[in-house]
Amino acid sequence: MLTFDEIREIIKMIDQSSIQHFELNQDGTKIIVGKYAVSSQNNTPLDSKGIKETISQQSTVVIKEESAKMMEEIEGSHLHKILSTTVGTFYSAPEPGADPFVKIGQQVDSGTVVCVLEAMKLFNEVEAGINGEIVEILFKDGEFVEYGAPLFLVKPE
Amino acid sequence: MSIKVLQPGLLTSMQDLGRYGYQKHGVIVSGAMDAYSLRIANILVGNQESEGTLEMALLGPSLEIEKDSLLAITGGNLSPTINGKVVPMWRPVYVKAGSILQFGVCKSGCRSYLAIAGGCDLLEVMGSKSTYLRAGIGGFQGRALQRGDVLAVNSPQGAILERMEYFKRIHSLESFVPSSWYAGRQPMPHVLRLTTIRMTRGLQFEYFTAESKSQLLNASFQITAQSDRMGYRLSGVNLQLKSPLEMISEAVALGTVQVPPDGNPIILLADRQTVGGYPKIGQVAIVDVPILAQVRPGAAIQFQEITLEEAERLYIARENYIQELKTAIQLKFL
Repeated sequence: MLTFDEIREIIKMIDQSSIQHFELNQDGTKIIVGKYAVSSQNNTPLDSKGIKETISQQSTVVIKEESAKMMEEIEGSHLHKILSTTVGTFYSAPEPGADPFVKIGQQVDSGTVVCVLEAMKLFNEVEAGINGEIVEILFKDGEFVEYGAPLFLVKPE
Repeated sequence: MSIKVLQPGLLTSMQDLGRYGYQKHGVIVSGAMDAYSLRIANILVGNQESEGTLEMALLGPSLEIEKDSLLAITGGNLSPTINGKVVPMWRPVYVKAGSILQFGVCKSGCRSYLAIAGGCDLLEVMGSKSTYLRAGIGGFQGRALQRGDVLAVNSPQGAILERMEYFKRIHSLESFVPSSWYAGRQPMPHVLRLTTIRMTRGLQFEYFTAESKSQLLNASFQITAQSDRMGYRLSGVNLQLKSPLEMISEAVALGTVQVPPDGNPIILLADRQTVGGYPKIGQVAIVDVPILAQVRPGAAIQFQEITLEEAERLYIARENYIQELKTAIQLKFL
């Protein structure tokens, strides 16, 4: 387990670097540090005002307020949620103007890429992780997603 | 460890970021036409940004990868496949020994770059692995690749070795393993659409007629078939000087737009000469040279004038982006 001082040191180092997103897994403790703000005109690194820290004993699920109600309905259902693997920007297609990775009603298998999440200039592919049918897409192109947020609802085979 | 050329493609040559420091002796720079794609390809596999890569134009080669390798393909999409299966671009790909990397139809852009982790073991000529085809220097025996050529690849060291180990841990029965992330791609020019190229005024801009100055920025120009790595010849509008100008030759640069007496502009590119005596009407912004390099002969471009300050701002933003990308990729392998 990291001490508070060690955590503070890590945050300070990240704050002074150009790193936008940092994750550390150690002995069941997970630390996620990220800087998020609307990109400014001159691309200068963000100041500490733009910093949020999330520290928890296990991975927490952060849910956007507007989807909270929907989640309540889903909680009791048998639908599988594909969760966000990172903090970043949601894109439903590999590039602007291209066909989306998946549509509602489409059958996917566990290796199907369902979307990409842009974090720190890199596009991370998210795989379905389950065989089934896409019944709901919970984010729109360009929307910001938190780590662990449900992205898709899948009816398992 | 090596790469064997089964089919050479239309024009496949070894290029790095160029041969600088010898223009005063008349030695041209050469190097990648699309330096941006070359740099990203190298960053993806963990090479120095300036490492030599294979530049492939329009019709790509077929290559046998004789040993387990880490590679990345960027630039124009020439439909790369490994053992018949589509290989994703703009990301590191771990390839198992004995695989055949084949390129097919050109889907977008016109030049693709293949970086191999460790780089190719070639003698540098005047500090560069770039091939200057006309003089027959640098690269692989100073020429484009031919069937049967075997390129020796340096053994991966340090950070590259770690990246290879990272991929080795991923269990896969496929002949190649791509990363699950990719670098943002450069938008590739579309053959049927007009590509906008930003430029600043050239040294002799004011010597041209008012009509020609206006046409330069409002008309579209086709890249003719007589275009190559040295430069793009444009046709569309004849640009006229106010009065004849006899110039003493002076330095030209990457992206210089010069106008010979026939009025058809030429944009100087990677294999440009060191000096020129034609009036220079414009200078393509450095950030747009890679885009221009991906516009294929037959397609059309349109110039948009920007200020030198704007060109500099774009350049700095591009460099910042590349540095951030580099950091992000390094973190992926921690």
